[in-house]
Amino acid sequence: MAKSAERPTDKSLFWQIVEDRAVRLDHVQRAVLRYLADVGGAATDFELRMRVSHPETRLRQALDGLALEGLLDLTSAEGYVVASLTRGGQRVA
Amino acid sequence: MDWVLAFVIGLGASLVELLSRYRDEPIKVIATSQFAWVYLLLNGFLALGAHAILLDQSVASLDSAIERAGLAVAAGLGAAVILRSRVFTARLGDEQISIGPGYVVDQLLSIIDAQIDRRRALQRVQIVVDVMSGKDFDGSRIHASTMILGSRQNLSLQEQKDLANQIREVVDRKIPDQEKSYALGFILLDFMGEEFLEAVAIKLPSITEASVIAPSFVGTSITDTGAGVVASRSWGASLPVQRAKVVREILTDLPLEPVRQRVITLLDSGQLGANEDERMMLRQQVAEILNRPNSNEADKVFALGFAVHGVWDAARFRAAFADLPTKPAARVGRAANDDLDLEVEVEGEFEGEFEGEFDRPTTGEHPAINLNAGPLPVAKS
Repeated sequence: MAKSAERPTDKSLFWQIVEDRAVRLDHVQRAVLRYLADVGGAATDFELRMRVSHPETRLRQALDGLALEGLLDLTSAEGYVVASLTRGGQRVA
Repeated sequence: MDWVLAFVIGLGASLVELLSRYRDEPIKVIATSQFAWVYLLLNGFLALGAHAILLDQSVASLDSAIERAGLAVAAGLGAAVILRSRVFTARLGDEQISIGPGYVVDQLLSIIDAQIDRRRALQRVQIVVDVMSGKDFDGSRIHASTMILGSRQNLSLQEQKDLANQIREVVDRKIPDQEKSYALGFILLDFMGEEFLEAVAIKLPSITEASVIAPSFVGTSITDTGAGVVASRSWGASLPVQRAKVVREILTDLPLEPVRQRVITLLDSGQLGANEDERMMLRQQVAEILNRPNSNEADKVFALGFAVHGVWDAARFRAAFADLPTKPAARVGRAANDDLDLEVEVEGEFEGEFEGEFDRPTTGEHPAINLNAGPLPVAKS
């Protein structure tokens, strides 16, 4: 039987070892991920511009950054850029 | 009675030894292996032999049952100690060998180990392949880790570290995802046993299931698979594009005020929003949209539209806003409003000059620090 002092009070050590990838997100990227999670995982760049409310260039920069991190998939459809959460992105969002 | 006690103690000592050797389902492994029973019985009979020797030698008075029981305990434990004793250690080549009765036990144990291991290996492969086949590794790893950490209350730091290191090792290996899933299955089997693995595996996200589940797109949240993770996306771009097209079609050229009033009316009448919490959330969103300092009127209209479309389907959305009057000056271009360029048709002097730049604040204020930055520069093509 473990002594009371040996019993962990939290399980942060486990997650530190398993999830050590530091994904640095700025506030626009966080807002994008949060919005995508709210609407079911995917939205057009038009919708994101209207709802996340940041200049187009800034939003585009955030989307490209998230895509580089593997958190978003960016595809084109009918004149729109569609951003979809990847599996990795859902945990961050 | 004292004979039984000696036998039980001898057998018990070896049972504890075997239990500590097999981490997953040790009782099941021992119960189903005849070699384990041979080892257990051997230890039991050797304890009986030790007891017979002690009785024969009359090393203690045997007048009472307690004294005979004491002698039986001594025989059982003594046999276990003697059987595992090593007189000295010799080096043969690169290998160190303990000389003494312990050598016999070591050899016997290694034979039993090998036999049990081979038999158990077959069972383990069968179990893991059955439950982990087709499972998505990333999702399974997170879900299983959460379940273990959540369900085990007395998990020591060392155990957490061991488990985490084992999982990390699998994550880092350059093998296919399916092999990683199997490796995760073996870790779970070692750590939590067969019953836990089978129970948890039902909820693990599956790669093959996802193609059936995902296209229906009925969930209101990305966590609707039950495991907290959507295994695979296959719905493509159709739904978000449809959403954008409907909002643009219905709300292009509409002035802000009637749209705002319509949204507030729908909220106040209880038609918009499933419950008071949802209506509260929508009111907050509406307030946030209307208070944006750097957003023009058209953007606010579209933003309100997306906020409403987020809780309503396209048919209800159309019905709610289709009757609103458009701006008189802008009715001309409404027919072709799917074109991105039309979105910019606003505010007098800038018309046509800022294609693709309509998110820029039209007030000339710096978007971040809210200071007047003078007139906006003309975009150069």
